[in-house]
Amino acid sequence: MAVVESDWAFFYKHRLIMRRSLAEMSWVLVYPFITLFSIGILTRYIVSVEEAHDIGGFILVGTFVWTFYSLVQRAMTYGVMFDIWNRCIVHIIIAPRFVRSFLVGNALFGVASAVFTTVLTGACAYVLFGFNILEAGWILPLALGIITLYAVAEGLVIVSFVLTRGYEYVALIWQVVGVIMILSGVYYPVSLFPLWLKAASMLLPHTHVLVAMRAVMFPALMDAEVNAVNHLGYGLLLGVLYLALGTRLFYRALDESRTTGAITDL
Amino acid sequence: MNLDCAVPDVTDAAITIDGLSKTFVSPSRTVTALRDFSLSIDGGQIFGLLGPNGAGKTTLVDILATVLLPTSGTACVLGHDVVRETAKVRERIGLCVGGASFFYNLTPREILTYYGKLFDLPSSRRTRRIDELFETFGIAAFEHSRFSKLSTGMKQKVGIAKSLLNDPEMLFMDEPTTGLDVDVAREVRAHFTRLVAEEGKTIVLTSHQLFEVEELCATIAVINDGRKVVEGSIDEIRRELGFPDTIRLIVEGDVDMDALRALAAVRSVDRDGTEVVLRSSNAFDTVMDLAGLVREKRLPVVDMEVRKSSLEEMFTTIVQGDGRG
Repeated sequence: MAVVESDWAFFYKHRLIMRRSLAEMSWVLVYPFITLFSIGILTRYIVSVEEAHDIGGFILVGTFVWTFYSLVQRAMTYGVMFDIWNRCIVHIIIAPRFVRSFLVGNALFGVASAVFTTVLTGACAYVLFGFNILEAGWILPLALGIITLYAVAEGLVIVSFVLTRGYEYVALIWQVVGVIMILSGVYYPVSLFPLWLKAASMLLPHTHVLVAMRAVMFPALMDAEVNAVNHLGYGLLLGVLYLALGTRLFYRALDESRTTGAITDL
Repeated sequence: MNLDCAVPDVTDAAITIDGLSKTFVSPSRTVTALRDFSLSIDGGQIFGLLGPNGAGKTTLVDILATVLLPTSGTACVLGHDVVRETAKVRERIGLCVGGASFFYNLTPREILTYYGKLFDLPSSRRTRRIDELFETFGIAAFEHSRFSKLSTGMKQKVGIAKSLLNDPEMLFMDEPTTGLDVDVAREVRAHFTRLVAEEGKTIVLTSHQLFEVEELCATIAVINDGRKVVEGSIDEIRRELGFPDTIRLIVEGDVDMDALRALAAVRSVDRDGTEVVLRSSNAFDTVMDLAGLVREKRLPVVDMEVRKSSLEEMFTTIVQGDGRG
């Protein structure tokens, strides 16, 4: 698939809006650091009481993955929210390659902003808390790739709800990341969950990615039989599946929105 | 190319609509915005779409511009079906809506660059096109001001410039002069005329400013309650629906009213003091007859004014359901 000018359109818009607005820049340069510092200091406290150094890293790796995911999801959803908030969504809908431009441009910006933030917060975590995200080794890019697939899919699903059900579904942008944080075991092992909740959490690529990363980085804290490669495989499979479903839903939502007229109410 | 859509020449039908219907269904109510609507619009002209609020004009424009999907029927724009060949239609059209709104903290150049990218305009062509449009619409001096800081007129000019970015053959202008002051609206109308005369574009214009439609549009269609009530040139509609011309005479002294009623094409004659008003289905014939009467019977006419029915008078009569003048 050759890259065309329209693939960069949403990336360009995100970059301009972020550069122009401190509020938007905060998503990349402020909130991730607030998360890192609050959780990093918490891990310091835990380590000082328990002298369990690995637990600090166990929690911090969750913070990195969650921040990466939330930034990519944000880029996907805000890619259309900016147009809704400025009452000009109709102009992107009638772009000849809207769906492709939307998918590619927003995903590219999401990954770029998430990688940028990961590099900055990673350096901070190393200096302040002695945590090195690069210790994840070769699985780090694969893990973040899987998270990207899911975040893009989730963004498409949320945008689909907004396009078909109306503006009030915008709240999903912020609510779903909270649910994912609880379900995927960002700060604790999902083995603590009752069986039914654990089964539900295993449907999330995040859970598999976190298990795999922790198995590689902190093997002492994980069950001996945990196989990082298998979990990454499951995560990848789920990520691809969700992206395919999300894309299909997005196409259907666009048609539904154009049929019901919901698109013109946004 | 969709086989159902005729291959258009610029002078042939640029838009063909056949039995188009649109119903909006929601849990609380069902609204039919278009009912079995058919229309053919020739290329290279400004076509006016008139109707009261809620008549279905914007819904029709939204379907033709591929924003909405019809419930039934077909519509072809420049030979492409608006449902099945959406991308091909989108490449060749521009859409401008009244009360232009874009990203409040971006500048006109950034806004147009973004949309230029979305329309796959290569960098050099995009920059050249934006420069041209800024020059044409007098935006150049404001190209680095934030959109939120622009005047209403300048915002609307940015909206019009945006709709022309991809050099479209067909433009949908949905109340483009709403909220503009007289000078800016006049300037915008002059641009529309130039776009058709010099660049051969086709413009579909919806407007509540009836004088604007009268000034710009070669042909019009009136929509009411989702149905097409009438279409044609303003003169054709005036003739076909029998809207009378008005001949106003100022007289001094007695006048033979029966003789006036007997004049060619006269439908009615009324007198109020020194003013006599004749309504005629053909002002030319009536005036020629009247000249003879003035000479022969020494009719004491001191002044005369001939006026065709204005679009506003016709529009009001049409949408009130009477359809006849």
